[in-house]
Amino acid sequence: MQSLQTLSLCSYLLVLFAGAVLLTHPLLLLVLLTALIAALAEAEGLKQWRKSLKYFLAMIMLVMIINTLVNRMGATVLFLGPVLPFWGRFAVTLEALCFGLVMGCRLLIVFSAFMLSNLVLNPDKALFALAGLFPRSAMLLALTAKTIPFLGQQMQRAGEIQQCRGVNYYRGSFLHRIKNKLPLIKVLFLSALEGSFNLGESIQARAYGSGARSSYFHVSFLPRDFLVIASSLGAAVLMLRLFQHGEGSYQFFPRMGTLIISKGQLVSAALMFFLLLVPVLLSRGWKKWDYFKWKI
Amino acid sequence: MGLFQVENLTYYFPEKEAPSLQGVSLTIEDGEFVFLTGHSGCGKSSLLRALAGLLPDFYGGRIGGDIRYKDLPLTHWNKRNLAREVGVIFQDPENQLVMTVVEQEIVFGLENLGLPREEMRRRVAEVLSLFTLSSLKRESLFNLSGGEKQKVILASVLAMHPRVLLLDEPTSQLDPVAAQELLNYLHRLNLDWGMTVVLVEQRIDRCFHLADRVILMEKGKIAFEGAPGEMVRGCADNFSFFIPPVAQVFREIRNEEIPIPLTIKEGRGVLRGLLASAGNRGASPPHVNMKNSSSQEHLSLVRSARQGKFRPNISAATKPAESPLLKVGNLGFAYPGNELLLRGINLEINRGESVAVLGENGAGKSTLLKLFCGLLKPQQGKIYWQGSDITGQCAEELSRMIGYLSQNPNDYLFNDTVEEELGFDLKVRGENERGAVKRVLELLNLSELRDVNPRDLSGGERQRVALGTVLVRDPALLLLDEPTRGLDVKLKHQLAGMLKNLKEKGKGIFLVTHDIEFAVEVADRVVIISAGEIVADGGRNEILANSLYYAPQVNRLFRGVDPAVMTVHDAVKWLRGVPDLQNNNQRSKAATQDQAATKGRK
Repeated sequence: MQSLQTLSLCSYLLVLFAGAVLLTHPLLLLVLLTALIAALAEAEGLKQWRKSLKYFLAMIMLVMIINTLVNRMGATVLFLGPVLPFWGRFAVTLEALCFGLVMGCRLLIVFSAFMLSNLVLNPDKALFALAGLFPRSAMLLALTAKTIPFLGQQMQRAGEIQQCRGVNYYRGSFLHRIKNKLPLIKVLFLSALEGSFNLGESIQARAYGSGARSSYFHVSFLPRDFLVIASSLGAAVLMLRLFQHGEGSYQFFPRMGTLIISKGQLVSAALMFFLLLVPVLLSRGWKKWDYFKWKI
Repeated sequence: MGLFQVENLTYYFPEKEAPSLQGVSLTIEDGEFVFLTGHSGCGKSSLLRALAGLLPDFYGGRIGGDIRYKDLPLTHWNKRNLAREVGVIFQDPENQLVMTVVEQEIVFGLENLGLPREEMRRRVAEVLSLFTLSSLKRESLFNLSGGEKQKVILASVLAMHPRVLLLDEPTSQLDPVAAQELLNYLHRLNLDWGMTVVLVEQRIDRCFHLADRVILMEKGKIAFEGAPGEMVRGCADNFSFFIPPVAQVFREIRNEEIPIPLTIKEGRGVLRGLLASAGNRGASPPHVNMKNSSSQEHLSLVRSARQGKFRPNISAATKPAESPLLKVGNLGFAYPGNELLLRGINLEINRGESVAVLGENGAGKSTLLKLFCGLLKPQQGKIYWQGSDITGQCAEELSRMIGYLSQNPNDYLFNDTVEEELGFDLKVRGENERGAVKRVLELLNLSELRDVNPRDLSGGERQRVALGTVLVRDPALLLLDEPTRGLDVKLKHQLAGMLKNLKEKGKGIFLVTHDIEFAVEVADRVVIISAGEIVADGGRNEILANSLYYAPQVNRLFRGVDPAVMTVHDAVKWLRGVPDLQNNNQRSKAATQDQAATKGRK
């Protein structure tokens, strides 16, 4: 997947992000998530994704809990609590719980899409492709992508220093461990801020943003790039159609509606799944069959 | 008409009352090699940034005076044209790299200049071969060593064909060999391409003689300006730190009849003359030991290490009666998925002993320190602390006995004041910090800065605070990784004094350094690591004397004369013992007294 051109990859990633924003139907979100997991596996990022899953799940749980406690629109009461001052009767409803779960799932898709973009988008290529059009955003994107692993290294270094100063990250309560990690965040931010001045100076001293840039590398679009752009466009059209017909969302309140509204919705979901899998299938074929590789 | 003309330049950083540059006026000629030196925080880097047109763009603040490049005010220069003319390289390559692959980093500036593709291809190929980077063309920058990154930055700036190159301590992260290689490139660029070079550097011995002119700065002003020869003769005594050791030796002699050399070659000529003169008068110089056994011993050590027969050779003077503080046996370590980085390491560090570890970048020196302090776990061998096995114990447990100072002091600093920063380590342990913090503040001369935010301090001051966070725990063993990085020569001297003081108090000191002069000043014992193995371990003089790469400048000056002479102090003492020189000194002193008496009569 990494061999695709920046534009093709950006179109694919944009569709995934747009899907997480536009769609609220659990079935369609499941389609997005499954395609995304397949893409992560193809980009050899599944292990990393699984490692981060516990943080994602903790965040999803938090969304669910807050939503369940705050949302009072559901009709199917699962638990009725005491009457609270200024709040009224405390109630947990099935609809609020499911709504929270779906919101969490959307959040998971956004996080996972970010992770995928970090794995497949080459920041240098992204800068070459986009600097002419959006010089500041392109530089921001390139530096962000470069900075993430760099900050990781710096975080580890600062963590080692804190350990040598007697700070233990692995003992004590969860809150205690979080508190112990706060200095690390401070070191990281302060060092990143100081380093950014040097980086800014280096970028200016090498004339970035001083006028039109030329390009060292040939940007050659291969058939696989056109296929990915076309499939992404197709998926985007399907999403918009579902959204327009109200089939992209799901009725949670006051009572949960039917899961499958129409046959057309089911066909659209299947088609969208296939279109979102196109980059994954192409990548697989590209790796497996030489003939396929030369053809696309 | 000079290439650069600076007139009455004054600059204040935001919210600072004292100026960073104060009434600086100077002219830099086309094709000149200027060496800019002075104490940490004296304004060298600010001047360099001002010449590059970067002040006050990034930092804000107030600026006054005028900087002209090719007779046009710098502010009138279009950014692209200025970048074509002036290339700038800073200390830390990590903070200058924009891309992720070597070739793309080099191309970055060329694309920004809008050069045609064919021109870029030619320039990239040229700089890749010039810096022997062709094999790393498609390598990720994350996989490169500090030295290689610095070369990539230099290549990416040079590919833009600037007329002027401004460099701020470009060798600070390089081992002696890589640093010399970089300075050789700069010299070649100046000689062959006529490139104007303005270099800020702390390795004075290696670049002083390359310069056409030396500018010495003090508190934002130019304190001295002149040819290197004039500098060694004419600068005030309190600036004698900023001349090369070989010149310091002959300057200290204070004999007007003896010329002050700039290079070892010139110094050896002067020394030969002195010895010949002493020989003609029938006197023999003191301690002259022409029988030079050190290099033979060194070679035999290397040979036995390679054959696996090596045993640490601690001189009788430092050999302790009690068990060593730290002892490692047959230590081996590999990072996950890699081959062994360190193998068969056998070492002892004793109370009141100071050991310097030398070796090229990537040899495994810093990894060794991390193994000792418990940050990494060895795959082979054992580590003993005063006889008890501590292999596999974590860093938090060992932090009471073993203090570790990493290369980057910024990794330590996050508290709001210096005092809080020093107290943090004790607070973590729930101990009363006041007495210990006060003691360390005084020891490191930080008392006046106790209420300052550590991030507002200069590089040298930050290094002292970081060292303070280690010392406040009063560990018995100090592990120091490149403690002189970012320090000027005077601060290095102060640090050496502090470490000697700690050693006398019975602390063990184990330091990794690329700074040979510092190692000579501090260490009793020297260990050389090459490709993950100890190839030499022995007394300081035994290992360093006549070593091809690691001999200090003064020792190279006395090569074949007396290998025991290692420092400026040794050399001055040695020379003062030469009878002819004694007579000369007496004659010179008498002449000065006569002149004074004549003046008085007049």
